[in-house]
Amino acid sequence: MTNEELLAEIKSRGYWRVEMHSTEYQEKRLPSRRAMQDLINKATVSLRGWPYPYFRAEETTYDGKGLEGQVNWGYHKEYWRLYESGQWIHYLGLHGAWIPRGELFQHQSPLPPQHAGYLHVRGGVLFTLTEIFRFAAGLAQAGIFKPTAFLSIQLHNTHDYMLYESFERIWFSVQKYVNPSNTPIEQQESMPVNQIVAVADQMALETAIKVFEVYGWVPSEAAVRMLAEDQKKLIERRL
Amino acid sequence: MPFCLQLGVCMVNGATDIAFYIQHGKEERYLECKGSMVWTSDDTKVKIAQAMMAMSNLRNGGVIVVGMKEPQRGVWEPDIMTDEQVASFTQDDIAQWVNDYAVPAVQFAVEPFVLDTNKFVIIKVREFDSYPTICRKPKQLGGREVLKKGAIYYRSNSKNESAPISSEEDMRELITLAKNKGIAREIEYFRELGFVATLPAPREDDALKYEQEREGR
Repeated sequence: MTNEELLAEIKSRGYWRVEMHSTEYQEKRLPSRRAMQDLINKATVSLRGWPYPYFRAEETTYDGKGLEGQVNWGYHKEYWRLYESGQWIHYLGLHGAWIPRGELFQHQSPLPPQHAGYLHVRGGVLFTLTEIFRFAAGLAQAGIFKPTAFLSIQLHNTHDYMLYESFERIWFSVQKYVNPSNTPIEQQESMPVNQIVAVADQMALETAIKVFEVYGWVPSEAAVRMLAEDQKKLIERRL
Repeated sequence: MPFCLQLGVCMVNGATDIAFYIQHGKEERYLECKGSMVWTSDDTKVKIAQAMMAMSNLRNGGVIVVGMKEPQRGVWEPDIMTDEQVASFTQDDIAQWVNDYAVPAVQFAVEPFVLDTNKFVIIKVREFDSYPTICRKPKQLGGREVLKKGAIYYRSNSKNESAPISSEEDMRELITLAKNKGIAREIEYFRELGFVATLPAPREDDALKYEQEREGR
């Protein structure tokens, strides 16, 4: 499947779109394939058995202006491109958009109501955002966003998607939080590069809460504490 | 109705949060349970001070629930707490005693709470603002030093216990938290002074160049 075909497929259902770059355009911040590969290699976040982003140098393509990668393996659907300017674009399909309901909830009876798709509170939102912001911190530390980074993280096409959690998470067991709208949920930030490193995890948590609120779930203080604790376990690879 | 469903229905207010902490049934890093006690006891003051200092050094702070019992190791359930015991915990008394030992002062809120027929005291402790909380003077009790001068009380990753920090891992975690807060604060400070530009979005022509570069992606 070509990159364009995969991109069209990802966009056909719920997906994350990530855009990051410096606020100041410079055409050649990354002048070579080697520089791009080294950068992604260093910044890649591996916290839970599947890296963010999916990157294998031998599977990437380089056209002289940017480096591209993709994966289309089961419900893992990703396309990304890193430009010479240091601009990073990433499209990431939601797992709950592609896994059939019966498989996604195979241990549940009865199955949750039928919806257009499903979004896991921690795995699909909080952990993904934590990886995104940590990856941004990695790129920032490498200096390609200087002096100020621009981050845009959007969640698209999730009208009628339902938030869900595992059984053991007693602070979230209801199946009633559904996105009522098809308006993309967006978090946009500009910030000095050294600040990203300091606030990445907190920003991920805050952005996750923003997503939940659009779905109609306003996490209580106790729930936020538990989310923060789970995020910490993820970061420390204790999950 | 199972507890979790009750929680899910109305977990948007503070009262439900507190009910959750009480009914959680076990301690967490951010959640410490204490037996029924009266504030005026020295033993109580020391235990609460240790817990508050430790909680204040955690990201997002923590909660102490007084009025619990541990019938078996690791399992906590509501205990009987008298009105006198509950009334003995006041914001001013706790602040005066604990912050005589803690520097910088621990920020917290104390409130009584009733769940079913049981009474509790809830102490919510805030994460430190700038610098980690340190115990600034010793306290002797029964011939033992129960609060240590210079100790940084903490709740370790490995054990839900409020104790002086002792592992390299915990120390590194605390330093990272303090460092990150410091960076964010300094940037904010310099921004206020005008030395750092206020969060510029990409200039219009830069934004256009990025957009053209993406070719519709």
